Amino acid sequence: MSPTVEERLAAARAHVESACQLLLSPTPDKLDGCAQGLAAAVVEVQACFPDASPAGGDRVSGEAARAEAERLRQSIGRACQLLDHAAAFHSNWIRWLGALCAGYTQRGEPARLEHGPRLVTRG
Amino acid sequence: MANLLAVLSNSAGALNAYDQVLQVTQNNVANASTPGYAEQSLPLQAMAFDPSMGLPGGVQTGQLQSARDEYAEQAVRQQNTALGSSQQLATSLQSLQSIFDISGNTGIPLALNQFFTSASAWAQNPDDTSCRQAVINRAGDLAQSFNSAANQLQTLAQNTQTQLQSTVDQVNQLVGQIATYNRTLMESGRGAKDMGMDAQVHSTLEELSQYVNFTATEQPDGTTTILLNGSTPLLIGGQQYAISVQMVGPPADAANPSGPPAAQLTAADGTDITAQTTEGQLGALLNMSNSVLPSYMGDANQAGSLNEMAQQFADRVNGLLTSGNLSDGPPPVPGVPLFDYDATDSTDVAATLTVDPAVTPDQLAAIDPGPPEASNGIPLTLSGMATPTNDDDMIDGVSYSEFYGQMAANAGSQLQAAQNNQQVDQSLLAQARNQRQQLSGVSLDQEAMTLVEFQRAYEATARMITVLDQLTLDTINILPTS
Repeated sequence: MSPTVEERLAAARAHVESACQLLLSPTPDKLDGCAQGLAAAVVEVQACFPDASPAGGDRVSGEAARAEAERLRQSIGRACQLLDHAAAFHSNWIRWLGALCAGYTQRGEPARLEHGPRLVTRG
Repeated sequence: MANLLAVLSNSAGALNAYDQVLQVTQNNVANASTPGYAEQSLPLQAMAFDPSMGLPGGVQTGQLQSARDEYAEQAVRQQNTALGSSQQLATSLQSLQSIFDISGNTGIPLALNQFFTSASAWAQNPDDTSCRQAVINRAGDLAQSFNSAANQLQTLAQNTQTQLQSTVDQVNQLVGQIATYNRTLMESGRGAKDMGMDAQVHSTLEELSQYVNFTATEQPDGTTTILLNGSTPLLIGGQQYAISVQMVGPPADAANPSGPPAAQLTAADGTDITAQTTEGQLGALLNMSNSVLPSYMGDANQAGSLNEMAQQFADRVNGLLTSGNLSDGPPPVPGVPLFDYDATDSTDVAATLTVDPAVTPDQLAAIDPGPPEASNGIPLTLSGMATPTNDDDMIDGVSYSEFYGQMAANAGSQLQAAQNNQQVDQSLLAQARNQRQQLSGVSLDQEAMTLVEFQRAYEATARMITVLDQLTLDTINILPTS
C-alpha cells in the first residue's frame, strides 16, 4: 500500500523540519545536508501529484491533506527565513570586512573583498 | 618658548599617531585580497589639554581592535530584540483572546443568542407578560456581558501600563549598570577593562536587547555608548539619560476627550520617542497599549469596535421599541427605550450599558404601526436581527454575531501571527548565537574560505526552497475542496 497524499506531505514536512534544524547552525557542510533534505521533500511532494489531482479519486481527503500542506508551507517559510537570516549574516559580514579593509567605492558602497585564487592542501 | 615647545611636541605626537593609523590602514589595504584577513583599526584618543598643568593636548593611538566580535554580538542582540517583541505580543494577545469567547457558550455571543430567542418567543405571544419579562432579563444579561468584556479590556489595559512601567524601569536599571562600568573605566583608565568586565558589559547589553532596540558602540576610552533606536542617547560616558513612560489623556479638542489615555515614552530631554520605539518588549507593549487595545476599547479618535457594537445594538433595539406602540389608541401609546448608556463618551458605551430599571414588561411595544400594522411586528423584527436582511439590522454589513466573530477572529489571527513569529524568532536567535560561536571559534584564514563555500551552499539551498514552495502551492491548488 503506497503512502497517501497526507502521509507524503507529512514526510516532506519532516524533511523540511530536519533542514530547519541544520539551518540553526549553518556551516557549508550543514547547508549541503539541508539542500539534500529539501530535495528529498521535493520528491515526496512531486509524488503527491497523481493522487492529489481530481483523477486521484478516494485516495485523498481534501481537507486533511490541505491542512497538512499548509503546515508544510509554514515549515518551508521558517526554513526560508532561517536561510535568509544566515545569508544576511554572512553577506553583511563580507561587506563590513570589505569596507574596513579597503574602504568605500566612489559610489559609497563598501569595497568588495576579493579572494585571490589559492591552493589548499589538507593532510 | 614653553608654549612653542608644547605646540611642537603636540604636533610631533599627532604626526606619530597618524603615522601609526596610516600604517594600519595601508596594512588593511594591502591585505584586502588576502583570504581571511580581518580588519584592524587603530582608534585615536584625545589627550588631556591644560597648558597651566603642562598638558599639551593632541592625540595618541589606542589599542588595535578587531571588529569581528562586535558584529556577531550585534547580530545576536538584534535577534533578541525581535524575539522580545514577538514573545511579549504573543503573551499580551493571549490575554486579549481569552476575553473574546467564540464558542458561543459564554459571554456576548451567548447573551445575543438568548436575547434573539426571547424576542422570538415574545413574537409568538405578544401579550404574554412572562415573555416580555424574559426579553428584559435577556437584555440585562447582554448588557452585563458587554460590561464584563469592557471591564476585562480595561484590566488588560491597566496590566499593560504596569508592564510598560516595569519594562522602562528595567531598561534604566540595565543602562545604569553599564554606566557604572563606564565610570570605573573613566576613573581607572582603559586598562581596567579586563575580560571579566567585558563579559559583564556584553551580558548586560544582551539582556537589555530583549527590551529595546539600540546601538552600542565602544569608545576609544573603552566606555560604551548606547543610543536607543540608534538616535536617542541612553548612555554617553558616565552620564545616563533615563527614559520614562506616562499615560497621557486625549486633548480637549479630540473626538473623544474623555477617552482612555495613551502611553507616551519620553527621552531624558522630554522628547516624545513613542513613535520610534517599535521593537523589543517595550515596542510590543506600546503597540498593545496604543494600537491593539484601542481598536477594541477606543481612544482619543475612535470609539473601539466593542463600543461601536454596543451602541449600535442598543440604539437599534431602542429605536424599534420606541417606533412601536403599546396600544392602537386613539391616541396610540408609544413604547419606551430598553437600553441606557453614557452617551457623552463613545469609548464608555460597553462599560456603562444597562437596561433601564424603570422599564416594566407592559411598557415594551409589540405593535408595529406599519403600514401594514402587525401586532407582533416589533418582536419579529428584533428576533430577525439574528439573521438580518436589511442594513438597519446590521453593523458594518454583517449581523451582530458575525461582527463579534470578526472581533474575536481578529484577536485570534493576531495571536497566531505573533506565536508563529515567536517560534521563528526563537530559531533565528538560536541561529545567531551559533553563528557568533562559529565566528569567534574559527581562524580568520579558515573563515574566509568558508564564506566562499557559504555563498555556493546558500544559492543551492535557496533554489531548492523555491522549487519546494512552488510545488507545495501547486499541490494545494489541485487538492479537491471538500
